[in-house]
Amino acid sequence: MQTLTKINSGVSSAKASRLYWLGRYAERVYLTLHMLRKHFDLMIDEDKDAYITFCNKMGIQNKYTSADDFTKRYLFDTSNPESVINMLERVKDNAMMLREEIMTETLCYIELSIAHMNKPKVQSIGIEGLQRITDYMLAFWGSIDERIVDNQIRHSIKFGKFIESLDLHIRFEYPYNRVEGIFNRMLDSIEKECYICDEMTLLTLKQHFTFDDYKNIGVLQLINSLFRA
Amino acid sequence: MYSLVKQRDTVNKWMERFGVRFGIYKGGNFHEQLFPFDPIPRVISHKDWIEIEAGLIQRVNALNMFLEDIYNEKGIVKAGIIPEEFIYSSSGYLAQCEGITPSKKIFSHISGIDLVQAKDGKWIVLEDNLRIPSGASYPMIARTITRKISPETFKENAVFDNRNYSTLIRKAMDYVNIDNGLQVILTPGRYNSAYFEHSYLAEKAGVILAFADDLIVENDTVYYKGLFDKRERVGVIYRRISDEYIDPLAFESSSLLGVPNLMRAYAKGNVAIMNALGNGVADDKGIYYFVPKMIEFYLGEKAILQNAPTYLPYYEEDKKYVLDNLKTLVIKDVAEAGGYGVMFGKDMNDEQLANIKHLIETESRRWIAQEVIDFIDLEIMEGEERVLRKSDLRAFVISEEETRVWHSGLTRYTRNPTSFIVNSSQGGGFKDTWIMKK
Repeated sequence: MQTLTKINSGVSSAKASRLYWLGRYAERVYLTLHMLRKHFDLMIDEDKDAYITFCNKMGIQNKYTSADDFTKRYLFDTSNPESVINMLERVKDNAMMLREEIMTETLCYIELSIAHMNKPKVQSIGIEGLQRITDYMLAFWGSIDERIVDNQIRHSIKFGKFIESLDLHIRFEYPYNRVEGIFNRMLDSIEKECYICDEMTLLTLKQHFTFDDYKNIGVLQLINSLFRA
Repeated sequence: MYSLVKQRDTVNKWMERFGVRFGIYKGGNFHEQLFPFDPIPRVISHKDWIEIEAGLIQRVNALNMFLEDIYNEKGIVKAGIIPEEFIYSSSGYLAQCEGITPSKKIFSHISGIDLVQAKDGKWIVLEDNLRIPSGASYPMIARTITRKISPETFKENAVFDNRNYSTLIRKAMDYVNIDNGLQVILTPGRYNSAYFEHSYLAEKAGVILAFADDLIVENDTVYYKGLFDKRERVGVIYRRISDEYIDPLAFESSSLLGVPNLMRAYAKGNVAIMNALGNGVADDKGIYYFVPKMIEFYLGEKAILQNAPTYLPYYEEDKKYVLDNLKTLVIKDVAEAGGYGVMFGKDMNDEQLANIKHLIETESRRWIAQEVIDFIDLEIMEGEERVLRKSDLRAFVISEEETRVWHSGLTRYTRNPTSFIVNSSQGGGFKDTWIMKK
């Protein structure tokens, strides 16, 4: 069955917001799992309270009573608005409203991720059981690149991805050269038909995005103010 | 046709993967659930299909002519075939649509005609749905999945491919499009029960999925609101919002789902709307009674497909028959849909019978009564067991330059062994429908 080519694609303000937040939440899932694995590794034998450090860096309240409690609730608790499973639900909320742009085959990877996270067996294993989520998210991004022909649509999603990536890499104090690489990729994406970046804020950000200042809270705020629609 | 039974778990996993859901409201809360799919298809022989197809094309053509007539010359009323009271008291009749003939004179671009097959093999029309008939996307996606996981099934069975439904929709949209504007599907949003279909059809037809806030009417022209005040003219809207909510300035003023002044743009001929506004007068259950007469009046032909034997209490003779035989009939409220407002006389106690009798006597225009058709059961899988359940078929007829019947349909079945109500909103499931090529 052929999916008919869209002659023209409208992007309303609301749609632009969905595209942007789809990118942000999807990247948040992927990177959160990545950061969590590092912290869970520390909790094995180096630092049993590494989950507290994680919460501090993420800017979320430490409401967990123990590492076990953190593992269960931060990963799988649907009543916890910060949990990874709820991040996935936010991805899905946006993706469902964008099916005609991202295609069913791309949305699939989100559905598969949520279905996987809801399995009791997966929940009993903990973070080790979530490698598949990482694989699905990578496949999601591959599908975005492969299936979305419209540059504006694709780059709007990736703009959200890069904003989230910058945000988290700065919070977790990654070295400048690593963060700069992401910043340059974001700039590259903006140049290629992405209309949802506030140019004045970007100019200001470029001035402050330096080796000495990139970890400042002001820079983080500028990054999170770049989106406009 | 049983080859897919062993793979139903795989099919269901793919359904879940694709997010094939519909929504229902229970206790005021919205729930999304997978639409239960049965792996045993309904099979319609080539011979049967030729008659069904011809009958559906005839019926929909007559209904379209009826709609044009009702909102313009009213020839069928002047000829005394349908009492004018029936037209003007119908909740689907919209006075705002008087004198309006839509683009290319098509009112019902997508008609969902519900049929059952009686035990003698005859196909009978139960209901016409000319407003927002839904459900075609489910068999379409089911076929995509079943072909993927069981290609040998389709090598061995010469079944018409049904994955062209979105192409038919797009063709219809292109045909009626005004000034080559944007094509949009207008959805009420994520919390509509058929939202999956809105988004899936937008994807497959290659059109924009729009929400009410995405559209604006300026100078009686509909525009899509792009970024930073950009305006792009809309030429055709496949609307999935019912008439009463589609324009708060013309209809229900409290509606937040609609586009203000859309009716003005439509009346001026500046935008095509699929299906046209005001079609409800033709799929009113009371008007259903007159469809065979419409076919004779407009086409000079006898109806190929028959209605279920129907009585209109509006007529004294019919009212007497209905009141005398209530226990053997099914009573339907003309204003309801989705399987609601359907009552079987045999299931009513004395008090309920007395109540309905009173309503029929005092509000005769509100009801129709039909003989209960013992329609054939189809096999479904319940666990590992094959059981029989009642089912109907919703055929989809697309009207554009020609009227075509989609070579498939939504076969719905009830999971309740004693029920005749197959609607998804009441717990039913669906099957693929195979139309045989030979």
